[in-house]
Amino acid sequence: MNYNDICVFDFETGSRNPLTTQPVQIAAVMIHGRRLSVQPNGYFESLIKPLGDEKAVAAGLDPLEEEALAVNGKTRAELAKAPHLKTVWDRFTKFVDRFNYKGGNWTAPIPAGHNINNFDMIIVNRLCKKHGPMNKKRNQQGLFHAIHSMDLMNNVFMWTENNPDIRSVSMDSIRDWMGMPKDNAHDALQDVKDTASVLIKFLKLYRHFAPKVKFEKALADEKLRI
Amino acid sequence: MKSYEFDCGCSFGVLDDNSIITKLQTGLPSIEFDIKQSSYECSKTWDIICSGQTKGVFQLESSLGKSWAKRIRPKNIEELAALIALIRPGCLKAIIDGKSMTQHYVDRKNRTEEVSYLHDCLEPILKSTQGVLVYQEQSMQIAQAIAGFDLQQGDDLRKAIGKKQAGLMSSVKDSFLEGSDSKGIVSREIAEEIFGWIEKSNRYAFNKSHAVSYAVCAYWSAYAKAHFPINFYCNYLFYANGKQDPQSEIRDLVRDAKISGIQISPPSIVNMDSKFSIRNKVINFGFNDIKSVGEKHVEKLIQVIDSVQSDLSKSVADWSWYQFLVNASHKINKNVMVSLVSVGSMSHFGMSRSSMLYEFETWQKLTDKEKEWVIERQEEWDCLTDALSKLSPTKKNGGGTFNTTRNSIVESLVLLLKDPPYSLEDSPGWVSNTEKETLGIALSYSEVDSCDASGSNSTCKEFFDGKRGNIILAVQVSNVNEYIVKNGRSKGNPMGFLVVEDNTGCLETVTVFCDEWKKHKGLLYEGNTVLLYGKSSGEASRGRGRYQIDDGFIVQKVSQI
Repeated sequence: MNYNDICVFDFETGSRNPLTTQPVQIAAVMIHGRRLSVQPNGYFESLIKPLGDEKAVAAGLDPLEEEALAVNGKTRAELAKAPHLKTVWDRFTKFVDRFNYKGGNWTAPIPAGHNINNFDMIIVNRLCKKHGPMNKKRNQQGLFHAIHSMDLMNNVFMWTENNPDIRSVSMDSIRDWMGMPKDNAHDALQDVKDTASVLIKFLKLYRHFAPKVKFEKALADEKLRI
Repeated sequence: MKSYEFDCGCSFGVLDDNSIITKLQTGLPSIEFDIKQSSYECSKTWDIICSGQTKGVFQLESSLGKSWAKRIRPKNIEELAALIALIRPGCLKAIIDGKSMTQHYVDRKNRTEEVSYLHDCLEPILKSTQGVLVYQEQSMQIAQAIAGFDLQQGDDLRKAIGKKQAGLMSSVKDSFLEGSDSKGIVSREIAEEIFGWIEKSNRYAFNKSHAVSYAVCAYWSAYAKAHFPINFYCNYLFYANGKQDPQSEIRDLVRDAKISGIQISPPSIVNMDSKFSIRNKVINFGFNDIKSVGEKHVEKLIQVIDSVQSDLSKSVADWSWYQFLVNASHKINKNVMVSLVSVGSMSHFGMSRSSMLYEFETWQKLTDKEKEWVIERQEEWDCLTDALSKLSPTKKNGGGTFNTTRNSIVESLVLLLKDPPYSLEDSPGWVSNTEKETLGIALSYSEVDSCDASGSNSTCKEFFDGKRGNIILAVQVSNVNEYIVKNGRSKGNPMGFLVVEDNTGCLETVTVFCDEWKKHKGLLYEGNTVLLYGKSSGEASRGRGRYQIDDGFIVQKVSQI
């Protein structure tokens, strides 16, 4: 039984390398783990002020790339008026903690999103290392659940990998496939809303079929195993 | 003296209001009245016992006590004493003719089983307990009537029964049979049968004087509950900390009080009560009942508030949240402060709990010097946002920050105060969860308030108060017990017993029979909020019905608001 909430989150960033990029926007939507609906007051969204190019380079980070800004539609001027990363990160961790029903790593919300395993979670780990919270035993982020994560991209890939009509599992392709509008696409909040909608659809699908598909002793016969 | 009169006909004088106030000052509200002036015939008191509303009633507050009280429905001290004796493990486990002694008593009392005696001479002795041998004293009386036992022999018999002494029992048996032969009231055969019956009763028979004294205590505790429910609950809550599991005791008492229509409020910094108290007929939690708030914390809190009250020359009730934040919050332990805000003890400030927590977290981010700067000039502004906007420039530029790094941090804090990244409204779900975590029970809302409950047509309290027909309840499942049916058509199949609650109270008697359990088990887990379609399987009187699900759930109609 899943008692943990699911935090669908997304960073918009100033470059492509998750190890060195600067986040410029963060958004999240908290999903009730059992009801699969948005938790009351479950939205989070904030722009983040990046470091100036010189300071960024000195800190070992990428300066903002015009190409990245073009994708997410943010301007340097509006980002300059945004709050600092550390202040926003503090607020984000407080937001996530509100949905951690016992305050531990095992009761923390499960991180979810599109391509989070290869991108957003790397940033989360980086920020947790710098600003906290850390799970010291595992030497990893201590904000979300210690082991679980839900990457929509993997789910969609497993569902469509044998479907010749689906050639990409990017968020835009999923939007096209499922008939979702692309207005505001690449705005972090719109991205998490769309990601959460698709994720909920998949979770409901699994919940519907899971009790009907029997895995008990399904591979007991040696001939069925590799 | 002040005279009280009740609709049940009870009337008596109690010590005047001043004495009640005196008790309040000592921390424990109570009412003293003269027991001698009252009788054991108060209908209101017996109704409480018969309806199983016996949380807090001496000897009857367990679920076993509640359930058998409803079945036995005692109407006098004799029957109440029998109930107390019959719900002891011995009686419940002593199976005769496939039924426990307790069940025999109930069936005989409800006339579904004939009351019979091994011999007519037993009738006057066993009549009061429906022909069931309940007390050790009854064994002694039987021995006296049949075998002519004197007081010493009777006491030997009691000892043999009570202490389970096999050697003594054997010698008493010989005396019993000899006495019976010489008295000649019953044949040797019946005498042996009666003695065998007495012998078996050593597994369950209870001392009657003990049972009656328990019954008297039980009656008076039910009497207090019936006539002074607010004081009754407040006192029980006050002493809940002495129980093995205080949080669960508090939860049960609050649920019981709620369903009886008694209001219970979170603690308030205006009242400053350290323990449970009564104000305006409302029971208030005290600060010591908040998780992570200890006695020293409360002492410190009182000191801080007293000192700021004298500095500001006004009572804490007249402060604004901003004044509390800048003058007092940083002098209070951080976790205590978070708990106080989270449980709603500062709700009189008129801001949402989330907003206050958010501003407190922001205030915590300032350095001591920056806090001092704001405190010195606090009267220039009305809110934290304005104060921090003026603080953010460096000292050189007329502000209060020491360098550009601090300037930019405070600027960021101001931006996030002006445009918070998440909603700072208090959602019922969040308030209910937070109160559960810090007080052990949700007082202001229930989880159901977060859901679309428009499909329901009743509340738990309405059902409890006797509303009948097709009932649809929007509830949260708070406890689930699965039970394997042992007899009958459904033998071997599981069925469920639930405890469910909404904001009006809690129903502990929800039964889900096998077919429905099989269909809906997946939805009936602890914490889930569901619509229950059902009807009463009991009579339409307060607290007597059991709730039976007959149409299952339409979970699609329960959704987050």
